[in-house]
Amino acid sequence: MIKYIAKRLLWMIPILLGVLLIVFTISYFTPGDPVVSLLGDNYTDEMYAQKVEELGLDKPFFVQYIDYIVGIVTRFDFGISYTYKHKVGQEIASRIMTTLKLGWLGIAVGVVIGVPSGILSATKQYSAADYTITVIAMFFAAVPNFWLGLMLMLLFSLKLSWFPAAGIDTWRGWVLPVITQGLGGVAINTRMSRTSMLEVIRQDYIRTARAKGLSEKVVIWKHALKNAMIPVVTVIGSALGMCVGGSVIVETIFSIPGLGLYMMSGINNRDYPVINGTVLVMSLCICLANLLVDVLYAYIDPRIKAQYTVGKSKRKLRKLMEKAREEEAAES
Amino acid sequence: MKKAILILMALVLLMSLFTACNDNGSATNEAPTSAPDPAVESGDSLGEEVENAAVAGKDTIYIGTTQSIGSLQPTAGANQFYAALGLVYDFGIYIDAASGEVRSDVLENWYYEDDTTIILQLKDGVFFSNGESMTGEDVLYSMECYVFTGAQDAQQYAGYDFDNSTVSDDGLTVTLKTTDIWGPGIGAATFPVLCKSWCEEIGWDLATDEGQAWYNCPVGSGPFEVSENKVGSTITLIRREDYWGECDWPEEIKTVVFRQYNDSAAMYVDLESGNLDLCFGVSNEDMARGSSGQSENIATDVTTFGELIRFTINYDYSWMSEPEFREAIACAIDWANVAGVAGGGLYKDAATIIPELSRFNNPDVTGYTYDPDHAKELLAGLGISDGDIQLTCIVQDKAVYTDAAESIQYYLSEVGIGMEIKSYDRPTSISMLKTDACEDNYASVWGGATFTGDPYAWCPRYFASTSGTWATVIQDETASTMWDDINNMVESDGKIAAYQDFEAYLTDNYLVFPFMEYVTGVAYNADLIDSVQLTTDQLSQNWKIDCIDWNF
Repeated sequence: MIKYIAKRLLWMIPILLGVLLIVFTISYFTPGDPVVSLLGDNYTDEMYAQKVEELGLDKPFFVQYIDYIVGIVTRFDFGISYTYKHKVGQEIASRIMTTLKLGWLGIAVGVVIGVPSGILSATKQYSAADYTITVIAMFFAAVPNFWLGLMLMLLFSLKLSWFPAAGIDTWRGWVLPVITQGLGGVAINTRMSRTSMLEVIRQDYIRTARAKGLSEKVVIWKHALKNAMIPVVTVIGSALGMCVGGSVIVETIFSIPGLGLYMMSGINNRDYPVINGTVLVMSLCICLANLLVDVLYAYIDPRIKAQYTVGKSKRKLRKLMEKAREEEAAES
Repeated sequence: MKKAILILMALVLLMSLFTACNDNGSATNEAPTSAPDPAVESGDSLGEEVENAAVAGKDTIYIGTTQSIGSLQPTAGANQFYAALGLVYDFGIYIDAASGEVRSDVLENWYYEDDTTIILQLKDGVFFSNGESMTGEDVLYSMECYVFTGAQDAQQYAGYDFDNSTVSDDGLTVTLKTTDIWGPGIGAATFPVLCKSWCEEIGWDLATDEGQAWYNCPVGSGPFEVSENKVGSTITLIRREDYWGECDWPEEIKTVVFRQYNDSAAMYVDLESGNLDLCFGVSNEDMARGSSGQSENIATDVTTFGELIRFTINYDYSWMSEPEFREAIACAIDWANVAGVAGGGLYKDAATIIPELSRFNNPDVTGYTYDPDHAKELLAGLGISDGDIQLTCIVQDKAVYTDAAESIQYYLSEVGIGMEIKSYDRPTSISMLKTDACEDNYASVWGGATFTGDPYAWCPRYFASTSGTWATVIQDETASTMWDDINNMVESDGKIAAYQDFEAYLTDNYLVFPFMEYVTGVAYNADLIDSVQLTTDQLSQNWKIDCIDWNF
């Protein structure tokens, strides 16, 4: 298993380099000159040339790319923001916790409400509870979160004055963004848990468990839930990775100073170090989340775990069998 | 399995708890001050906090803004939080919002000694928040910083001759030399005064790095100082008890909290629900809501801060050399209506390129008269038929520009001129308007800050040699000559009148099509405030929010 994890971690290097190359290339060829963006409309040719040199934009494309990678690898230096003149790495470090907090809390809301609702919906199929949960889940799955955020703001900030419409100075400030971020996850988790659970509880081994006289509680919680959770874990895992990049809209609506907002400002100002740095960190988060999901699979599903742990023995066995077959063939 | 799921759930909850309990501001920069922070101390109920304070005696003002909360380094450009600068720093020179006259916080007197010498006399007893006395060295240093940091619009300071400028022995008189007669003018000396010794102490690298201290604990001589700066979120200022001068803000107000909003609608919601007392950058829709009385206890004002917007066609386009063609464009469009459509409730009509607030504005220039029939006659006279002319209008993807462009497109189509609108984000649109990158038939709806000081500093952008984008450029020999003559003139020789003649010339010859000043909307709690106006520096960038009639 450790070997597998190490292998996956090593694979991340070319993936991240590839992502960076793509982002670099897109930035390079995107219309819009960062120097003009910085200087505005009142500059001379000399000022322009000086700025280009200062930002290192006069160097060839691949030199810029290699310099950037060397900077990250050797000095952990993501460069200086063209617009803000601060170190991008420091700024990312200071903002990522805010984004992660928002993402984690959103996922927690999604899991804590979504999974039990899905299980309830599946075990009480075609009941009033099932219909109610399904309709609500469909609603939240269909509603875009920018609209939901604005509606929550309208109700809880403007009408009821319970929570501020923006800012995260206090715990109250977190409530609306987290709900906005999490409700989409609630809908997906509910629907995924329901579908998965329905599929599992129709399996033969569940019928057998019931035939053995086990209580429904034990059948569901002990025998069905584990297998039903595999697709749900996949969804949660994807959400883990996406929570860093996916909070851009919520951060924008509720004015949360996170990574997503930082990336947007970088894009708007053609601030290449900011764009490259934020995309790189987001890619890294997604890679790590995917790895975590795969490891969790192994933990939940013994068959997958066996692939990692017994794989070596199987390969040995297969080799022995092949050898035996070859010997047989040689004899005959 | 149940156990595994429980562990998984517990893990998720623990992570949530961990992140929730974690201090929210790795983005927070704690100010090295022992002063209490009421915004933090007062607990977790913002709504209650404001309500209680209103009853028991207001000591904290919450201000919403759509600007980015970042550095308080005045030349930082995009990262500079200029709304708070006027509270933390005193200004050398600023432009009075009501009269357009030049004023100063720290200068006793200012005048031209001769054509190239300006005398700035400092008030005695001005000192910074670190206890240092302000001297002429600080004043000169502050102006030089704009040039050395390469700040946007730094060019305006280039006309000062810092090498030959001097400070008197007592440190209170600055002899500021200019390279040209009159130079950038006194009005251009608008800057928050920085403490030179402090800047050197923190090792501020003018060329590359603005330094973290500019966020947390900048030293100014203004009535407030920074208590806490959560970059991108809030900045808390506390009143300086040892402020050297008289502050226009009521004594009761001990703390000012600025909160950043990316969405102006959310900001207005917080104002309506009592979480804010005052907000800048209110949208058209919310301004209408506030002024129509739909929002309880909310009043609105428009401020002078904003941008002057004009329609512009590339002067390299062959038809632009024909005065009749330019006149046809001027007559074909109902400019007042275009401004109304684009500006909603947030505009003032503009007829010249010098804003109304500037003392150099010519009030007699009234703009162009809408007369589409005359426009058609002029075009027919030039042999231009329907569809012969097809313009391409490059605009930034801001509603005010695109709305104006669509409105202009309609009026031009009525006289047979086609115009395709291409909307891009700012960097792309500016790049497309670079002098060496545009097509001849390009047009644009272009906005620039409403500079209120001496035009010397900002008009160069209207002439090709010093402007990077064609959209700002005026190509006319007579206008260029007039411009040069005005620059070599002192005020007593009729500089103001000369500027006014210049404006009249541009209008009479249909050389520019300015149509609106897009201003900043302000909304506030009418229980606390009667009216609000912004006072700005020459660039209209650094605000002094001191024109507030408080209801205390």
